[in-house]
Parts: sequence; C-alpha cells; structure tokens
Amino acid sequence: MLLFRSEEHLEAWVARARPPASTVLSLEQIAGLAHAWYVNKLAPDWKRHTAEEAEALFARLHLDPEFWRPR
Amino acid sequence: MSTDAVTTAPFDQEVRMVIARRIREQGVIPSIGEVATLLQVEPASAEAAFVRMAEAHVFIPRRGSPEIYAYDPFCSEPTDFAVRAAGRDWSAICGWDALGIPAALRTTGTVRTRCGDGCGEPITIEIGADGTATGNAVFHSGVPARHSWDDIYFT
Repeated sequence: MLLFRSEEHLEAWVARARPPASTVLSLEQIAGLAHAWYVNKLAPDWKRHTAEEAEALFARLHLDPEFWRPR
Repeated sequence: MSTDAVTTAPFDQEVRMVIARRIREQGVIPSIGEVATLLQVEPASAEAAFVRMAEAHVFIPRRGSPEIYAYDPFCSEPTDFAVRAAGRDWSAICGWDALGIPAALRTTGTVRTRCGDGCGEPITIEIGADGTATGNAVFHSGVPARHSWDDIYFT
C-alpha cells in the first residue's frame, strides 16, 4: 500500500510494476478510512470491525465495492 | 482484511490494555517479557496471549515469532512511513497505517514518506485531529481487501 505524489506518478508506476490488482484512493478517502479504522485502536473497548461495519464504511467512502469486499 | 471476532478472554484484554498503554504513554511497543513483568505473570502466559492475539489478527507478529512487528497502525521498526504525533516519532508499515497513527492517538500529526514510484520526491501530509488530511498524495492498494491477510507482510 503505497503513496504517490500525484496520479501521474501512480499511473507511471502501475504501468511499470504491473501489480496483479489495483485500486486508487484519493487523499480524502484514505484519510477517512485511516481515521475510522484506527480511532479506537488504543481504547479499552476496542474491537475489530465486523465485515458488515467494514462494508458500510467502504461504501460511505465510495470505495470500489468489489476490490474492498471484505469476504 | 481482518474483521473476525477478537479474542475476548479477560486476560487477553488485560494484555491488550497494557500494550495500548505502553504505546500511548511511552511510545513503545512492548515485548512479551515486558508485558509479563507489568502484569506480574509468567512469560509463558503472556506469550500464549500474544499467540492468540496474533492468530486473531489483533497485530502482525514478527516472522517466526509471536512478538509484535506491527500493532497496527504502529510499527515496531523504522520504515519508509514516518509520523510525528503527540510529541513523538512513529513509523508505520504503509500509507493507510501512517495516516491512522494520529487517529489512534487522537491528536494531530505529520506523515512523511517518499513517492512510491521511486522518483524520491518527498510527500508530507498534515493530519487534523478530526482525521482530515492536507497535502498532495494519492494512495494505491494492490491487494483486494478479502486477501489482505493471505500474506500480510506483502500487503
């Protein structure tokens, strides 16, 4: 899971590296995902997201539903 | 991706809280031995909890060991994803985790890395306490979510 300076840099890398699968997130999407995923990680009542919770979060962030299908 | 039920044994929860407290208050991911000392239990008991938690994907263990490699989003070793938050320097195993460190600490932060295409250009992202991000970057994932734990060291 890598960060790129711009979509042009990312597209050049994808063309060169040819990863077997590929999806792109905007900074807004990855920031929203990271915050929601980890905000409770150090809390006493932390528990992992259920598949249903993960699917709802991915949908709220408009992520590719097939790529981000959790199961 | 890991969304299974977490280990809920009371002792495992105690271990998890010790780990979280050490990270939050000292900026350190503790070893099995440190956790055993802090909880005043035999190292074998702490190790058994670490094994259960690793199997439940609470954290990523070191290869061939139940010790913690990454208590996501926090990595126990320096990486290419550096984060400054809560007055400390942290590292993360990927961009997703790097942006998650300020969230886990419930504070603001700065993520520093370099462009993934090898051009060497620095990337700096400022994270607000509400999780909003400012900077120039796009994120790429090459592993579908349902396969993220197939080879977590690659993911």
